[in-house]
Amino acid sequence: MKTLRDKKAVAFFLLPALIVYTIMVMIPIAVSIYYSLIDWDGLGPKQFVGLSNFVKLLNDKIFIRSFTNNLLYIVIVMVLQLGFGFIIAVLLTYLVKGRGFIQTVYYIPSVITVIAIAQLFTSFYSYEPIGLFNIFRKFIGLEPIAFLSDYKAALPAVAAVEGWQYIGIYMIIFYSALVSVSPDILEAARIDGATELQLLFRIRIPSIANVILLACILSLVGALRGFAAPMNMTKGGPNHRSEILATYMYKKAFTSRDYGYGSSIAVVIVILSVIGVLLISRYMDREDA
Amino acid sequence: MLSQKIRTIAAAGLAAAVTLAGVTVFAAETRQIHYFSSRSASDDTMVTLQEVTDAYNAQGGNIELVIDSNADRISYDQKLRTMIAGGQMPDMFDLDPTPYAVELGEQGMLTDMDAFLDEIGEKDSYISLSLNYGRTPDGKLYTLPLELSTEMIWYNTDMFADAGVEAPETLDDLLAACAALQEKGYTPFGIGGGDGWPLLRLLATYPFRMTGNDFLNQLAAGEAKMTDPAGVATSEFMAQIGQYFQPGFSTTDVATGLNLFLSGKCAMYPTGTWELNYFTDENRPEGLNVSYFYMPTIDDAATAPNEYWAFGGIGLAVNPEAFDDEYKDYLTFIVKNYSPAYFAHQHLAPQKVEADDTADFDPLFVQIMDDTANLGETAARPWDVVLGEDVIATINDTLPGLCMGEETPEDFEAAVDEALEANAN
Repeated sequence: MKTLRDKKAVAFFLLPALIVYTIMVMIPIAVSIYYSLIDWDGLGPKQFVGLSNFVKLLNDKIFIRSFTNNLLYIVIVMVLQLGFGFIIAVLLTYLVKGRGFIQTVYYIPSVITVIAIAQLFTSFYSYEPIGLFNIFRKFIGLEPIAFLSDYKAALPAVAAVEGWQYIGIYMIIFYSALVSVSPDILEAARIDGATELQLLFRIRIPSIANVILLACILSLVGALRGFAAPMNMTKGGPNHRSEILATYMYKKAFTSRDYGYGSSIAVVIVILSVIGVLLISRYMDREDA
Repeated sequence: MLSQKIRTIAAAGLAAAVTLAGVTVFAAETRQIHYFSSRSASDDTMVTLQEVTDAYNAQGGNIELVIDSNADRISYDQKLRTMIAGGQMPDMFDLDPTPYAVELGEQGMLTDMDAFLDEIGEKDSYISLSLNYGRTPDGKLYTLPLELSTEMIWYNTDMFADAGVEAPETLDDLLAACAALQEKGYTPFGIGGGDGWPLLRLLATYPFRMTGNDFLNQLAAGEAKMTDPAGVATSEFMAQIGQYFQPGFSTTDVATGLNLFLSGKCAMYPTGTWELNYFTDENRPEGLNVSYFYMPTIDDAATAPNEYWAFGGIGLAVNPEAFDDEYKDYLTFIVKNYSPAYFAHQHLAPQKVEADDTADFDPLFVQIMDDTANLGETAARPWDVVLGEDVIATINDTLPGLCMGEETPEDFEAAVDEALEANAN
């Protein structure tokens, strides 16, 4: 403890992480901000254009569509990750046998690369050759549909992949928090006649509010950074129906060679991530007060 | 005891150092040429290049051809442009004569292949259709062709017979055949819409038959719009034919489209001669009977029926900064020896090859050779080579919607015109 009180020692231990963070996160963000202020096609001279790339964004119909798609994408991802993660975690607290097995099974998708998961789901969604979901639809008497080509189904279909993949992580986070709630408090409440639902909503959830905040931030930022699944499965199509900010940024920068414009979208994603984190953080602080 | 251990460790260290030094010396003697390729590693162009490289080394050369293969074309283009923007142009790479190639050429970042072929006296060895495909609109040649390809539509003859239709000669016949096939319960088209280019080929068909390549060139120059007659005709055609594609075509890749056709799940599949091996008697699935037809025509067409898709494929570009005497000697050897080796794999070669004895060749390949010998003077140019990347991106985004009936021809024309206008500014 004495060592940790020494500020130099603290700085010494923090420094490696800070250096890595600066190289991997801060410098790329700074470079993106620089590129967002220029017009460059990757070949000719770079031309400083000030904020005009950002002004252009406001009139870009595809950017606005990507933005609204991204909001829906975030909602789907967060509902799946936090909702299912929490429900499974709560159920696990009542399970006596086989808990470790179930935790492992739910966690496995989180350690598989997104591209593999995207390929797997592309097969599941496939119309021809018929995939798992369409086999199920036929089984219950519904017509098969081409999920990834359908204007309405494409976005939920790709969002569900990222949402599903990381349910296990949130399940582990929530479960760890739930089992850390003092059994004495729960037992006392039970003796006082509290139902299991009352225990959940009046004791367990308030007790783990900070963990829920952390999970919300992780899930929100993760969903904002969503890229690999939609890019791999639909490339943002059909006609931008599953386009989100990250896929649009990638296309503008690397397909259209409009590196400045693409960087301006990247900067918007960073700003939105920071705003999202601050909003949730402030809300939870108010709840605590 | 201790000194013995030290001696052992020292001896092992020395041995390792000598080995490493040997490797270093060897590496220094072998010239590596990095080739960033848009073709798969198993493609016969790649196999042939490696064979010719081996032959070059056998007669005293010392080149290691390091192939970085990236068969997903959209991904390849993105990576190549990013590498070049980052100042890391590969020694050798694949490049189409796109507006991007023009920009690179104008900045002196590509080797002038006209000058190179003149210098080694090999220009006349090339088939002009193949070589000139690589010319940019300003007439410059920055790439060497590795193939001569034609494109056709393969069809399942049993399904056609069952539906009572024959190989279509006109685009109207094609639509009628699709309707008849669908009536019989067949999926008329298996198409790899997710890869972009198969849909672009169909889109280009009507304008090519109406105007040759004029409409396309005028679009690229900003002198025409999609709302012009050729553009309207092709938008309406795509809206019609799109209803005959397999469901989910917009996210289906070419390989899946091919598998649908080979497994008898669709009646037609558009592709090029690079996939000829799949259709030979030897390789085709048993019981699958197929034939092919070339680009259908229209009444009063401006181009002849024997004028269709025929080109040199994506060509080989060379980084001028790496192109020293040793590299030039190697590339000269490639030019002089590539085509016979490639032809031996039963592919149409980009250079003239003596083919006295074709007895060992598959009859299908011989038939394609005969067709190619009767090609007309003009060949259709792919839209993704002539138009800017932003315009092509817009077409790739909106065309599937048009084919699915989610967008009207007017919506599609407006979107493309908007992209053309933005591209011109």
